[in-house]
Amino acid sequence: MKELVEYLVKSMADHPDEISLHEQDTGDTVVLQLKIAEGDVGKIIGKNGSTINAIRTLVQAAASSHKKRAKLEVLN
Amino acid sequence: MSTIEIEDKSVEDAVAAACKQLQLPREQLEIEILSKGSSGIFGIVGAKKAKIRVTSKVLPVEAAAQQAKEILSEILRHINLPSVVEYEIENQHVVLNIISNGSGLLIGKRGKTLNALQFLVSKILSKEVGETVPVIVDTENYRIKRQESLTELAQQLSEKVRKSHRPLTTGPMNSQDRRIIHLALQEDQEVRTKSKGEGNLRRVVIYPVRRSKKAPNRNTE
Repeated sequence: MKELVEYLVKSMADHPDEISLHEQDTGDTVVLQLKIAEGDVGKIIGKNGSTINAIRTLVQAAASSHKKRAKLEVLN
Repeated sequence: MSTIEIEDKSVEDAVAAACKQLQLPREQLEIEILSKGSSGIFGIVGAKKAKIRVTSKVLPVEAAAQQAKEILSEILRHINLPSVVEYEIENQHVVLNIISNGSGLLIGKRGKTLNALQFLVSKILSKEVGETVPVIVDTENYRIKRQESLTELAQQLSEKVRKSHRPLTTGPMNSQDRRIIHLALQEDQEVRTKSKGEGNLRRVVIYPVRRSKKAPNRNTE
């Protein structure tokens, strides 16, 4: 799941080197905490959160394929 | 960028052949006439073929489609589900079809997951290519089925509007779904459709058309 978010965010960000992603697995729920460059925040969140919501939808699909739940937070 | 040279009876014919071969409309081709050609006398003596050099101004869709397929496959690699992606090009749209076990996991509720895939693939592709390429992601013929059920819904709503003479509103829909509703009722002379609302809450309102009105004011997006 971490790699999925990493791939998606990296391919959309202008500063792919300034991404940090922390994964916390608490049994049945995986919490992902994302930090990105200041200039990329708008791009990754998107208009009305459209981009971040699409990423979340995919993360949830990936998680449910592993019989898990997932949460993705942007920490900026 | 691909460049080809084509010979044909006339410049017109050569251009038409080029458009066909590259699957691009004429506006997107840069055409250089190498020789104009002539039909000679009575089309028999001294007939010379026209020759043109054609360069496509846009990135060939084929290359974009290949790239889109790579992006989608990369995303699906992280989802624990065996799947294969195939692509085709339909009037300048890249159509990606996912072949999987048919569990519906990739579709999600009302196509939510499929739409997310489509949105992100198109976004990543646009960034890589540097221009917007329309991408459609489909699996298990979901898009066609969705179109059929929305068309049916549109017809049911139109029926109700005609009987009650009151406008009716659909639920919130994305632009693709709204377009299907508008198109389904385009030919319907007794109702007219209009999109209302902002952002994610945008929906289609179906109004009855009063008989006295001469020309119904159609509004499609």
